[in-house]
Amino acid sequence: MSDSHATETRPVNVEGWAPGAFAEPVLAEEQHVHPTVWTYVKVALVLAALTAFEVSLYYLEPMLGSVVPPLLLLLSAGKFILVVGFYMHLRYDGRLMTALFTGPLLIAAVIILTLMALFLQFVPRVTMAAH
Amino acid sequence: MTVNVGQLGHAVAAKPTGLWSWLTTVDHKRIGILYGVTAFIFFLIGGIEALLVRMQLFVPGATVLTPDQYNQLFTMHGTTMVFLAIMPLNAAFLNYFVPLMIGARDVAFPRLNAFSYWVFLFGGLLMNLSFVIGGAPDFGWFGYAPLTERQFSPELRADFWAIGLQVLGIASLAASFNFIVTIINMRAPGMTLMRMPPFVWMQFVTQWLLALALPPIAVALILLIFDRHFSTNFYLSEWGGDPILWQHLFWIFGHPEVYILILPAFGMVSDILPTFARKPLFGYTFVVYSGIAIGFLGFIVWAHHMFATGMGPVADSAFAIATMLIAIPTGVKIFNWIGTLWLGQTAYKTPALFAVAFIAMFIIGGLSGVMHASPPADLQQTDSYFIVAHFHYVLFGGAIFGITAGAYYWLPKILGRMLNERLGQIHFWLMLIGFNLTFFPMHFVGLNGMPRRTYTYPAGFGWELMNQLETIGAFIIAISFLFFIYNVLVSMRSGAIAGNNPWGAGTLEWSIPSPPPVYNFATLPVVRSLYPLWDGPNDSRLTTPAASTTPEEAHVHLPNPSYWPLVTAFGVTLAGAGIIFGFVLTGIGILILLAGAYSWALEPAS
Amino acid sequence: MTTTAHPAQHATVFDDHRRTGLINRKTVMWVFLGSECMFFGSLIATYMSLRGRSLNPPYPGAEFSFDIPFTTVSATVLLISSLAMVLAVAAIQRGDIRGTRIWLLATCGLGMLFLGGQFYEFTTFFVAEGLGIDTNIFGSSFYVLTGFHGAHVTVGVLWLLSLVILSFRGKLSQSSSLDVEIAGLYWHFVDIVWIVIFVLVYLLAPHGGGH
Repeated sequence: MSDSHATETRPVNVEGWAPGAFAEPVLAEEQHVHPTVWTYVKVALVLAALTAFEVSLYYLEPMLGSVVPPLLLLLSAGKFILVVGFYMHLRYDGRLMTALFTGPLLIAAVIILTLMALFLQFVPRVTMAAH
Repeated sequence: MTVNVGQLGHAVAAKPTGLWSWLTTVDHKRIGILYGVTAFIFFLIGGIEALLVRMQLFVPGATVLTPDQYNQLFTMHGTTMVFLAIMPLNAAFLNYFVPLMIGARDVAFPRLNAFSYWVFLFGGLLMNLSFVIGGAPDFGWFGYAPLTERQFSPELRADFWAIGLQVLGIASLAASFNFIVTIINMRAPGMTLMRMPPFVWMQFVTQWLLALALPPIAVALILLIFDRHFSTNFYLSEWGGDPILWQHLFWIFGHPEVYILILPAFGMVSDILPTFARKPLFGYTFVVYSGIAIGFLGFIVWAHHMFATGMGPVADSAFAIATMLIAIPTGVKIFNWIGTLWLGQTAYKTPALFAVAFIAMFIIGGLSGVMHASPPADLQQTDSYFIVAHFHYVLFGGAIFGITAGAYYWLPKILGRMLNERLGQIHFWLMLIGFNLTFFPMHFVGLNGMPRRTYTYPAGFGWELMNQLETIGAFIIAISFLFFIYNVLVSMRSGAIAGNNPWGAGTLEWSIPSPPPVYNFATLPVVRSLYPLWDGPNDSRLTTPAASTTPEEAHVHLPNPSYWPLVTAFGVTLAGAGIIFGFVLTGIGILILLAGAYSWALEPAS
Repeated sequence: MTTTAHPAQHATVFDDHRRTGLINRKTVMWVFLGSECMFFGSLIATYMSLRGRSLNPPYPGAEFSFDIPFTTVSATVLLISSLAMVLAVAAIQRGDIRGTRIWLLATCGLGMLFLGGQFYEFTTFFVAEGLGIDTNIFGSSFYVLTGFHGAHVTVGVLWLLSLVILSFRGKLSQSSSLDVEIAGLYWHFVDIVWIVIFVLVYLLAPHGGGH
């Protein structure tokens, strides 16, 4: 972390230091790019298509079998990323914002999976009534 | 929702005095003082509860308390010390000093900060109200289901506990959001992340732990409240639920909570030792990164509190290994502190004494902690006095020694006057002796089989002498704190004038007058190193005009005081209390909450 | 914040953009949403851990099945509401107050439609299947998980309606686009939670009979 990028030519404010002179380049990368309305509509169309795919997988499960649950999780993850990336602007906001959200998200995912494992949800249940 | 906005003008901001100014304050320093005083009173209450417990255990078969009173007192001792004493004492230092240490004029959201304090105060009062209405919680501070279910706790006790914790959780969550943003965004020019004092870093990690660990216990408490009030069966195995689910959700919160209690003390000691050793912290980056590592690992070790539930060899091994891993970053810090003292010209003033004792006491607590990281050992030790010894060495020997060191170190900045050194040393030696006399024998009686939370014990097990020593030690601790209280009361009137930097410290909070002016920094400091006052004493920007300068003269525009945080906090608490006393109150509480929140949102902030 | 300083320009404690170029209110919203991840994560963990442990009927897959066509429609309604929300944000950033109002109302309407669907689903389960919150552990965990999501949608609807009211009182302008953007972040979060719940609770539910 160096302040070498600070230049003496910048105008100074009442504090006697140049605004932005001490900004951290790693963090300050919010780009003021706004996607167009058409981008938003395209994303909505993709979201709808993915949802349709998900629901058809549900009905095809008797045919496809155990490949369906991972596929469904993958598809919902795709929808999740689309909404977070485009509608919530994480694609355009700084990396710090993304870290603020994905860190907790990962911890939550680890806890869900660990608890499911501890409650034997990944062990085939032989005693359960056949459905 | 129409309210008169901005009726509290600048006249109040300029000259804040009287009760009303405290009720409406948004100044982080005043909120810090409110936190500190309130938490210290709760600390004394929790201490008196502990003394009563110790009196009951002084001799075998004592009847100082009834079994029911005993259960209430040990439960409330734990709950009070964790949630109403150590956490808010840490919050007091967080509020008062983090903005000063990063060179900010206030926190990111001053009114949210006031809201946090009021919710904490009301939540604490609600929890303790149970003593006079039907009895306090009596099932231990971690409230294991099904003891908290209607079947075993038909009275209001579990409701007071669940709602009280829920309300306190809201206070801590709001504060954590506020301070995460404050530390990210409000740093003075040049105050890069790796120039932040270790105390700020450890509080940053702590606030993240709060933000992420409180939601799981919020869910756990919601499920409990649903079980009790809407006949769900989350923790009732006869209906397909599982009491173990409570344990998991509680400890997913509870283990990060341990670090929430101790990390701020790590930070305080990491700031105090360099000042008195007259040399920079040894391996600053290691202290920072090991703090972050502790924060992450803290989320994957929770089930080591549950080895006795029989999770199977795979889960036991995984959690045991993760727990032993966490000892590494903790051990790194201990070497950092020792390295700081090594060859230092250490001046053993009271804060330094407490800080050094902190290292020693925490090592003992840490070592016993690694012992029961091993499941076979833990099965012998769990629910015995050995565990009580362990966590008191960590939370008293660690957190309280650290906080006391912090109090002696930073109170001169708050009061503007030095504390009496002689009284401080008496406090230190009494507390060190009393503490070890109380808790060291617990290792022995624990390994000899004395269970924790036992109302009494029969004679002839060889536990009598140890228990008598423990009770005597507890009273010595109590006496030591009388010296502290006397010291503060006398010194705040007649102590030596502290001046800006009585200890010759290197961090920013010592660059401004004691007590600091309401706007903190007349001109924002420009930071060029980890210890700006050591490395740049000639920098004119690091010295500020006299304290008599008004905010207007310093060209600083301060946020307006506001009573809406207080109103909103009252609404939140009333809505919660309604679940105990009847849902009409919940309705009224939500209306007050909404009115407060809307008025708050529409009121100009500055 | 790259303006030249003027002597009269007072430094305030609300000097955003100082360190990281990030806006305080937006940053705090993301931290809050991170915390909410843990909240819904814990609720979902509870639901998933207690799956298949009901000791008495009715349980989906055995006695009854979720109405997948119906829930698909309501999940899609919530997805479309996210589009409406992002269009409201785009409108306020252009300074188009009327467009903002229309899209905010559309978002609210779709949100209420979703809540209506949830109300219909709950009453159907309760009346037709006899599934109360206290009937079995499936009922408890299902109603609490989806109910808390519904409560979040309700808060979102109230928030957006408040913005609409503010706009009619002339208090919403291009300069306050951040107010809409932050409400939008919350709304989208509620939507992505449902994306997860839709798969975990509905599409991955045991099903065999019924179709």
